[in-house]
Formats: sequence, C-alpha cells, structure tokens
Amino acid sequence: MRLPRATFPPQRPAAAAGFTLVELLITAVLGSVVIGAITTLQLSELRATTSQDLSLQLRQEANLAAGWIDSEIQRASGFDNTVAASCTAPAGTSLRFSVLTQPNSGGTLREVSYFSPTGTAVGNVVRCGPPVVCTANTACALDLAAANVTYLVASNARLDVTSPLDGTARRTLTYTVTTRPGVVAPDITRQAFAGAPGASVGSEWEY
Amino acid sequence: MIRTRQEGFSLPEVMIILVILAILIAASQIPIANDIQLRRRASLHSGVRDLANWIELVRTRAAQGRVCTVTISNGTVAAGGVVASVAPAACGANHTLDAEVAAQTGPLAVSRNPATTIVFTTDGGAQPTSSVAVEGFNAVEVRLSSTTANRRACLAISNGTGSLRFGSVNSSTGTCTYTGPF
Repeated sequence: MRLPRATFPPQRPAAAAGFTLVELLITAVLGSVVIGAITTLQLSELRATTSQDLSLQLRQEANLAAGWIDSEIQRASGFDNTVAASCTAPAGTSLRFSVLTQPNSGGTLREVSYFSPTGTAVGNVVRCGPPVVCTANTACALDLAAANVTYLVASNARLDVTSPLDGTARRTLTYTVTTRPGVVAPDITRQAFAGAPGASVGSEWEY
Repeated sequence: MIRTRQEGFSLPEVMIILVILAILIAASQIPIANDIQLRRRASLHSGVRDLANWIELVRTRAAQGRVCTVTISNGTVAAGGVVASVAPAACGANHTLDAEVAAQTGPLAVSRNPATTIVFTTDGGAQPTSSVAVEGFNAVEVRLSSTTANRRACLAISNGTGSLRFGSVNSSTGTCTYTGPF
C-alpha cells in the first residue's frame, strides 16, 4: 500500500473530507490544556475553602482557651510565679503564671499553674491544679481537697503574659493566647483583674 | 503538485493518534483521581468540623447555666443519621450526618473511645465519666471512618477543659495522629 506523503501546510482540495494528522494533534493538545485548566481551577477553589475553615477553627480554639482561662481567673485571688505543688512543667514548656485560689471561707490556698511552650514555640498549653467539679445546674468549683490534675487547655497554641511575674503575688494579669502564629487567626489579648476573695473580678478583651 | 487525497486516515496515522491520546488520558487521570480522593477526604474532615461546631453550640448552651450531656453514636451512620445526641432538650437538637458530606464519604463508621457520655459543664469545660490518653492528655476520642475515602478523622475532646484536637490517618481503621494542620 502506498502512503500519501505528508506535506506542511497540508495541501488538499477544499472538497476533500476528514482531518489531517496535524489538525488532530492540535485538537488533542488544546483539549488537554482546557481539561488541565479546569482541574487546576477546581483544586485551588478547594484549597481556598480549606484555608477559610482553618481560620475559623483557629479563632474558635483561641476563644475557647481564653474562655477557660477567664473562668479560672474568676475564681482567683491573685497571681504569682510559683509552680503548684506536685506539678511539673511538661517537656518543652515553662510556667507562664499561677492562679492563686482561696475559698471564701478561708482554708488552704491552692495554685493552678499554666504552662506554655518555651520561647516562641507553639504547642500544648497545659494547666495543672485542683480538678474542676460541676454538679447539675450549679456553678462549677475547684475541688480544693483533691490532688492536682493536668488538663490540656489548647494545642497548636501559646500563652504569654505581657508583664512577667517576679516572685510577688499580683492582682492583675494581662495574657495573650495565640493559635498558630503567622497563619490567619488574630491573637487574643485579655487583661484580667483578680481581687480579694469575694471582691469583683473583671476581664477586658482586646483583639 | 496538488493531488486528491484519499479520504480517511492511514494505519500509521491512526496508530500515532491512538498512542498520543492514550498518553494524554493516562496523564490527566492521575490528577483527576487525586482530586476525587482529595474531595472525599475534605468532606470527611468537614464532617468532623461539623461535629466540633455542634459541640461548641452545646458548650455555649451549657455555659448559660445548665449541664448538657452528650452521647456519641457507636456504629454505622448514613446521611441524616444521628452522630451525637444531647440531653436535656434545652441543650439543642441532636447532630446528624450532613447529606453533602455523606454523598462524598459514604456511610461513616462512628465510634468513641472510651465508651462514655460527656458532660459539658457550666464553666465551659467537659467532664467525661472516663477518658483515655490521646497523645499524652486524657480525652475522649471520637472517630469518623470512611472506607470510600480510605481515611479516618478524629476529634479528641479533652478531659476537664474540653479543648478540641483534630487528627487523621490514611486508613479507615488506623490510629489518628494529631500533629500538623487538619
């Protein structure tokens, strides 16, 4: 069988039907480029949604941790930098502050220590102190007779105090909760005031 | 010299076209297959986030001054099925599996470790009746597994504070890890 010789540009009478090899090749390449572009577009859309979800998640995490610390501070009578009895800083973390708690009726002073990753690292924010016990439809309270327990306050986060504690008990504390710095969520800064037992306690929010 | 071409293609032409098409199709199928798998996994993850958002709602209700008790389902859950329930009714409606999520992931195997109810307290914390160590901290681990997506996504609810951690593993039966972004 004799094959026709390929010439470029293809020369043929207008009436001849069918495509040339070159035409088919161009069509195939154009088609694949279009399909590729659509796939890429869909993928980037998916990634954008994921990033938005992450932002919301980080904000939630920071708010949750700050909410917990706020409720802890509402039970506080002051702050210091002494680690609570039988508590040790988890590996890679150091003490940020301890919340002093004293029942209104007097009794033993207990401390709740908050640990955060050392330096500027991000990781687990840990609380060590008396367990919180809640009974049905009543406010929660520290079980001041129980041994200290460790709770995870936040992961992928860090906790900082604006003015480091220096060994003397204080009445005010400004703390910052950061969730994965450099991603998307803003830091949450709060200033908490701890009064004498029974006195009013407040907290200011700042974003 | 212009001569009339024969209609149709010659055998070598058709063979070349077939080979090129085969290569193009093969190359484009890889990202498309990845894309489908990515979507399934993203859906599974958003299923876990839906659960986390629902838990936040329960937490908010609890912080308004009532104790809310959450029970996580144990078994296969299809679209619209109950993933987690809460009592009393004032704490909100039960959490069901979103149809859009289920359309991508298929029915989910829902399980929790340990088998326990979780009490959300008035100060925003969570107190399960029992807990297990999940990467160093006591928690209740909720697992949503999809055989279609060949993935398991986990939500660890910490004992005490009720802080949430997200984990996942590339297998519908493996142990979730909690490092890195979810």
